Amino acid sequence: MKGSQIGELEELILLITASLYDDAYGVAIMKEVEQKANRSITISTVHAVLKRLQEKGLLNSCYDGATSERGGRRKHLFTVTVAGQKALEHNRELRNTIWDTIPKMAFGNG
Amino acid sequence: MVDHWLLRWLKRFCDPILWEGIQGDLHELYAYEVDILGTKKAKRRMIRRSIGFFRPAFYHKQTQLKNSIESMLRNNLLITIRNLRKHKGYSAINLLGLAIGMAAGFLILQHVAFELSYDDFHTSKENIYRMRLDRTNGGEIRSQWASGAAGVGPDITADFPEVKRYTRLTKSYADISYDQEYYQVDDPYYASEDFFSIFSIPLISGVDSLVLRDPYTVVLSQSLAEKIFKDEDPIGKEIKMGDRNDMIVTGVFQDLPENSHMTFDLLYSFETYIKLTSNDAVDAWDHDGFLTYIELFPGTDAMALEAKLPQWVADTHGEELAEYDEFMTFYLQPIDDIHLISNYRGEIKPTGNKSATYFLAIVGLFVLVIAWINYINLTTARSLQRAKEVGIRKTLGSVRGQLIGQFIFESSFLNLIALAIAIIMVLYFFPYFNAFAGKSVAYTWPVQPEFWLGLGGIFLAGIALSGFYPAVVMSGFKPLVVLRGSFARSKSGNRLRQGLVVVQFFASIVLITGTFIVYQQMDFLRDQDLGVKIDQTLVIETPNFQSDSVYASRYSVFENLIENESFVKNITESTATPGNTPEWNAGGIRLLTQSEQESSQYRIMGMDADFIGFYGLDIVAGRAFDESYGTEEENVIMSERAVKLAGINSPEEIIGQKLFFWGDTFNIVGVVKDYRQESPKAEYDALIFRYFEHPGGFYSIELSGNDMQNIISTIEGHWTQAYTNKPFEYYFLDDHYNEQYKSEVRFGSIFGLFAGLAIFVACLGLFGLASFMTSMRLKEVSIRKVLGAANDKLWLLLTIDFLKLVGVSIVLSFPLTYYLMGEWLGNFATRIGLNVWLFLIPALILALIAVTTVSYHTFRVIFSNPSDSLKCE
Repeated sequence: MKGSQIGELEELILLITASLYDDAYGVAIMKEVEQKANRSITISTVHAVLKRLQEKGLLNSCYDGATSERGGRRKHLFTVTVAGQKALEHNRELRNTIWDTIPKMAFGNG
Repeated sequence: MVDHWLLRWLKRFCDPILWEGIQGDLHELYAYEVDILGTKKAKRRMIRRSIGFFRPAFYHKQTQLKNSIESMLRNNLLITIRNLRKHKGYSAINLLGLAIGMAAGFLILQHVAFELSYDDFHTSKENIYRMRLDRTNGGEIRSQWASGAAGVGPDITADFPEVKRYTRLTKSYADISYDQEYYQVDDPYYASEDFFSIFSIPLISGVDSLVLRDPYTVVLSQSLAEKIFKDEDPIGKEIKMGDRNDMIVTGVFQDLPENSHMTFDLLYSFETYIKLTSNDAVDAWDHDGFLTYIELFPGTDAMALEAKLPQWVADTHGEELAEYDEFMTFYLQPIDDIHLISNYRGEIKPTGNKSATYFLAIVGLFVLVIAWINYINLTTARSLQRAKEVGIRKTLGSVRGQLIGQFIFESSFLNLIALAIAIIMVLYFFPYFNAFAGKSVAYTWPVQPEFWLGLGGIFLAGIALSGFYPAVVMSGFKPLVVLRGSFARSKSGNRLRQGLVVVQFFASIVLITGTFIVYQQMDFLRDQDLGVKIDQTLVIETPNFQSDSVYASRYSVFENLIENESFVKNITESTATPGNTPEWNAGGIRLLTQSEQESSQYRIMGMDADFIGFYGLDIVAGRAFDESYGTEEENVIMSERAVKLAGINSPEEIIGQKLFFWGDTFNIVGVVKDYRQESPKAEYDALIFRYFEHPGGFYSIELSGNDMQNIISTIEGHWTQAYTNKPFEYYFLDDHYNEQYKSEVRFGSIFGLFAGLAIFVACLGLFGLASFMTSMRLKEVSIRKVLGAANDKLWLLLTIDFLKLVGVSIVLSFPLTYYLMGEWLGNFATRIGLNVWLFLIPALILALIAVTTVSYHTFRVIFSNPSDSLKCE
């Protein structure tokens, strides 16, 4: 099924979209990525990932909130769908499960 | 906001749904960066950022130009196919008509192109001319030669600097042998040194300037060389001419292509001819039978040279010619014209016919035009059914250009399908057609680019013209008028359609009348009283022997064997048989009492005493040859035409007079009634018969019985017994005589075939048109029927419109047919007169075909139940 697997950047942007909740749009997501993950990303890459996630059915989008700083243009806002939520939860559980199986000795500091 | 061309491009590139968000984000970042970095830097970063958006993920497919054309074409195609399927009958008629027309047009035009391509393969063809000769006596043309005198070539080359070189050819009659094997060679010739330098006939082995230089050398065609020598290398081998001389093979040439006016398998060097005969032949001007070809230096005006020739003849040979009141006029024939313009004494092989070729080209175009007219007629006639479609499309915002595009698309599509069908037909029928047209099996597709370009041009023009008119008409409908339901076809459209039907039937009637007249003429020729008996006669070519006495003794063996067979009724030996032009042409002949200036040229036939009786020739005065007189060698018999040429009025008067013939004097003992020596196509010839005990040439054997297979093998057995391994070459005289009609018969059948196709296609069109026109009047007929109209009146009502059109075409076609067929008949010495029946009968046939075609539909309408068509309103 398309969308059952998501990449690292996709997962990051999906998480940020969820955390921004009702103000998740291109520039905001880009800035969050820069601040939270401390990595540089271009706006066009953000848009491309958003589009891909939407095509996978993990995001919904709508237009809202025209502001003067955007030259009167509305924001393209994204929200996480149920499928998106499931995908994030699935990834998290998978990691937790694996984390739980790691013996303390494994990291050599126990 | 920043305005930059890259952004405008991005807008066109991007999916519009995404665009606003992208643009907003770009602007937001820009506004933010202007504050911290300044306008200039911010703008640069924005542009750099925007470049990142040119990636497939944001690409918007629907805005691309290519795709809009694609979808338009898809839509056009869909509608076209729907229309074709909705009206299967019309579509089939349309397609079939177009395909037949195209296939027929192609076949006939490639045939014409082939006829026109003769001798085009010579690289310097524009500089090669044949010197053709007219001999005149007292200002009147006495004989017209393709082959003139032997001395002409060397003399013109010596006297005119514009002549680069010459080659001369003369026929050789010898068959050949190698290693005790005998071979009969068709058309062996002697050819002089420069032959292979002038003509572009590639030598497979040997050097072009050397192969024919020395006496006793011979050059063979590839196929003959393979036949004789199999796998051996022929160069340097010796073959025997007859059983006389050893000839060294010096070269092998590629077989001549079909489209050359020349054909030979073997060429001896002309030096051989000089050695074998006397040296006189080299510079003689008074002995014909030598083909002379000259090559001019590039840029020479051949017409100017030709104009100088009469003066040249007068200067060099004027005096001796004047003694006999003779003159020689030379013409320069461009080599690539010879096939179609030339048909004179001494041609190498039968030539083509220019007018027949052009007739056929016209026929081909007629068939094509008829097919395209069909398309126009059927399409515009049906336009009413599509008027609503046009109306609705226009209401929905179609502009005229789009509608024209749609209709042009439809016609191109239909034409292309028809073209595809036509190509399949052509591929299938090509070999049959070529056999039919008398071309060899080896014959291949035309290669000239002009032919394909011309053909492509014709097809494109036809497709454009036949598609354009219906498109303009149909796209011009006014939506309001059409959709209100009160639409009627325009008067002018109707007129045009009628005009086109007239053109179609005009062409058809010309073709059918032409065919009819060609066949009538053929029958007329066949039914001619030839004045000579040619059936049940076998002709065998006499063998060549070095000495006459050996021949005579061998012949008596053969004669004895043959005459004991019950199926042999008679035998005679002569230098020529009926169906051939006597090869022996002699000038300077006169009555002893006449002056040299009254001398003339005659065709001479040598024969034994049985010839006249054998062929059933009538003696009108004097007597036939009779060996009991003992001195027949001194006597001659003349034909009526020859008597007239000698200037004597009655046959009786010439009997007993003396004939002066090349220094000898002969007694005229008889006059034979004119007969068709050559063919009914030609005038009666002026013939002189001379007696020889063994003239050599041909045996004519009259046979009785039916088992020809057996008879011939028996004769061949006797032949081998008498002549050992001399080649046995025979033919049946009636077949041979009829060979001469072959080109006419072929012309008649090609003409007939395509006339038939043209008429068929025209009738297809008429059938479709009638089907439409009558169904348009279905309601009218139903109402009339309800009101009590009689069936025959209704039939007349529906048929008369078509009949009028056919009538008009018939009347219009008369002058053209009269002129064309008059021209064609002019080729024949005996011909039918053009009477009114020759035109009326085909016209009536065509009218009948047309009425039958139309009646199918009229009857259908007449016999339909009126309530079926009237119940809807």
